[in-house]
Amino acid sequence: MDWKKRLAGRIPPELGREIDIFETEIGLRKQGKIDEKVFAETRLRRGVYGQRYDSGQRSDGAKTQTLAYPSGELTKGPSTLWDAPGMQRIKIPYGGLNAEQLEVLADLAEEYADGILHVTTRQDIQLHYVHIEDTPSLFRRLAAVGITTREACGNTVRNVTACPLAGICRDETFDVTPYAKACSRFLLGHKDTQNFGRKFKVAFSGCAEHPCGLAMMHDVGCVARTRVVDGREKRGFEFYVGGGLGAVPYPAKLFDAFLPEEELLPVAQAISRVFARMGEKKNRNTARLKFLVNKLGLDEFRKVVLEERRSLPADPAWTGFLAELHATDEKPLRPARPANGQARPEGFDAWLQSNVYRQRQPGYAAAQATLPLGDFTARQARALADLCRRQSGNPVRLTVEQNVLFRWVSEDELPAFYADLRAMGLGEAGAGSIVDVTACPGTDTCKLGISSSRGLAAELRQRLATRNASMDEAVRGLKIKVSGCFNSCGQHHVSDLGFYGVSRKKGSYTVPHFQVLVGGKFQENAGAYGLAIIAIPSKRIPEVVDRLTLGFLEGRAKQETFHAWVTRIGKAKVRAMLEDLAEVPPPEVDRSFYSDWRDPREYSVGDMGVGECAGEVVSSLEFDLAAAERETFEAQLALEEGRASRAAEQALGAMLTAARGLVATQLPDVAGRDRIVREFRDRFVETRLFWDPFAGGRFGAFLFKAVEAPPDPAPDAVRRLIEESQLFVEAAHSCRLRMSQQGMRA
Amino acid sequence: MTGPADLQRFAVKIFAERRAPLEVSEFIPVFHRWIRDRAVPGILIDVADYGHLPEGPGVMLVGHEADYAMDAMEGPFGLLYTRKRPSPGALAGRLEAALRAAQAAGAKLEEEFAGRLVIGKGEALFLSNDRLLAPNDGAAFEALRPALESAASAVFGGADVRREEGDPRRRLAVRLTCR
Repeated sequence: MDWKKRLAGRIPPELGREIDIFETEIGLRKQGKIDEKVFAETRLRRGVYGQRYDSGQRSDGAKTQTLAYPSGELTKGPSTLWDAPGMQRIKIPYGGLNAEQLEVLADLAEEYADGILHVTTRQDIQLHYVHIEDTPSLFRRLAAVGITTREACGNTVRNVTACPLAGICRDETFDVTPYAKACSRFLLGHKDTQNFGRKFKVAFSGCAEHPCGLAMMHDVGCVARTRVVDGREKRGFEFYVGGGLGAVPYPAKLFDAFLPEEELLPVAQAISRVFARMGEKKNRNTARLKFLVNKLGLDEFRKVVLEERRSLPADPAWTGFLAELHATDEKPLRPARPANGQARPEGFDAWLQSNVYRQRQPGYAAAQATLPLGDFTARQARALADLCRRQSGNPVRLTVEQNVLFRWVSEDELPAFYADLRAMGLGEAGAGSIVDVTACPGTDTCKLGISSSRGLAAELRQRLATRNASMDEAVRGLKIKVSGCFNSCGQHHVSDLGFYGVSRKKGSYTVPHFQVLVGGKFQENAGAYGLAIIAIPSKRIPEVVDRLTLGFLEGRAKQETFHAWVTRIGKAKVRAMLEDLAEVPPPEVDRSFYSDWRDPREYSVGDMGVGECAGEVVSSLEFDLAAAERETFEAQLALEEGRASRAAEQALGAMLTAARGLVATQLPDVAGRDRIVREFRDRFVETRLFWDPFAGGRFGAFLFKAVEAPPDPAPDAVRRLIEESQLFVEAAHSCRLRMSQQGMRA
Repeated sequence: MTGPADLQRFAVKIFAERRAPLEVSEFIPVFHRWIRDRAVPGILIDVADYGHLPEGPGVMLVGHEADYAMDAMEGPFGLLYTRKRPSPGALAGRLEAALRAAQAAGAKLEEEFAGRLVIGKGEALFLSNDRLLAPNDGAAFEALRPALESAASAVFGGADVRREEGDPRRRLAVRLTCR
């Protein structure tokens, strides 16, 4: 007996066939009959990701150990050993999960993973420590309850997200749920979405003002709109394209102020075709749709897409779903009754204030179960399934802030509902507040993590929770988001206080740091992106939070938001508040700085030791890198003051300073812009010293691009140049570290 | 694979008692050191910290063949040893090996936290971690009983074997109590 036989008849035939094919491909790869690169993309398209240490090497803090797996050198992708545990991403369109699905996910977490379900910032579920040979059974059990992992990763259309309040929101124009569902179904496995150079993300929002859908940071963002045509109200979307976070974030551009609902899917298909045909394929670092939109310009992009649209043969699926728009409508189990003097359990009032949303439908509320760091156990998943059946009967929604939202709770039942959540350990107040820190997996499990985002988030959460009750409302409402690296899976750009992981050298040690970002906005569908102002040692980030929140409280004008306060006082002042925290004490004074949160290993590769010199020797490269950081910051200030051209010069200047510093380690007297660039290319890029394991030569290319053409003075373009300059300087720090490891002068 | 006798995914838990304050986070450096020193058998991969989840798996030493977790999710606080990859031999032998592996790790933890942590010696919890081969029902329990009794006798010198009733969606759980 196996799951295939057990579930026969319950798995949709097409999904079943795909899973069978994947199982065969696993067998073929084990026999060496499929190339590892091809197999890697095959598994990624089914949500089967690699995980940290899957190269078979792991530093224990003193040295690097080899993990001698039984399958030896067999790989499931380049440098990814077969037996190494991986991450399974499971797409949950618009975050909607019913009770039966929750129960199956609980079983899978126990049997194939570590018993934990993790909610991502894009409404997926992730399981960790999964063996690849377990994935076909896992897929079949998911397919039997209507879930597919297809295209959860890889160069595909990723999970289609939507505002979790869709259908019950007091501000929405209309319920976007059926549109998100239709879009997800239509694009899944579509022939026109199979040849992308990079991933493609779609989001739906019911309104423009509130943040839940985060439409502005997606490749395609749809904001519900209506228009009166011939005396009748017509539905459509404010339709955005080319947004995205990642290393260099781009705000989406308005493609159409009103795209009629019947044009949603054909235009999405046309964009897919244009993206597949004209998008970058060789250099994955410039392959997202945002780069194509930027390269062509919005007007040309729109023209090409609309031409493509006109050439498409009609497809009944484009509009078929419109006849079933109400199929996803939800109905409550019981008539609503107002709160009527029920006993209020301890802690209820605080929870009510932060976790409960009054629905558009009178007498009903939506209530959040707060998941610490987006995690919940298999046991809690079953308890949530019970609660789902008992309270509303409708699906729950996963949120981009990594919580679970229940809808249709009658107001009189809220105290009992809260007591149930408390009993399962999920009744913490503070959902969506400063305590509810968002974090990507970071160094816990991600191959790209630089610093411990979850460790930091857990620490901040713990500290802030103790002060939550006495916290000023203005501070309580702030958002903190943490990413383990520049790739922004923790969405650090769209928070009041954002952090992303970087590292810095201190003598012969490497010290975990976080870049501090301010100026971002979660509101208005991710309406503004923050910029990094200073790198601070990981262990001092809690002090950063304390200082900035205190500074905000003391310095804000009446009703001023954090974003407005930062804008008014300027980033120079914000940075000045933190500068002394950037100092790293020597290891003999405080060794805690040399390991990361919740990880006692020394934060460095194992073969590095304490330097022999009695005193600290600061290399000229260190000075150059510090100068380059200062220049990128000054560029930000210039942009803030409206001096875009000056900002662009400084951003480029910062890259040149860092490049000169690197070149000077080999050619001390190098000078002149062209010479620096040429030598940098020959000595660092061509030799792959200046080479990121994830981004390849992308950061070096930022410099070459900037020197080749005069900078575009448009503020958006300058802003991007500053971002690129920051990443270039970060890459120079990483390069310096690599040089040290290789025994080179750095 | 046809039935409970083929079971390869299962867990055993031995219970622990804190005799003095002991935070779950204190297990993190211990498990990292165990990886460094290869202190327990098998391929040891990483330490997962779920200390932020009350009644969760606590701190977990993730391995290839098996995981060790200071767990508060399945029954009282204790050391949960979860077998993940197939091992040779008959089921009774595999169960006995798992119980002994858990006990050996428990003894090491007692040494690590001398006087603060005591691992129970005469009781264990068995969990089937495969709902296909050994679901949470009476038939699967009866099919597993001989192997469980044999393993428990070998380790405890005789034990009562009792199925834990409860939520049928949870894993088949059997309490092994030293006679």
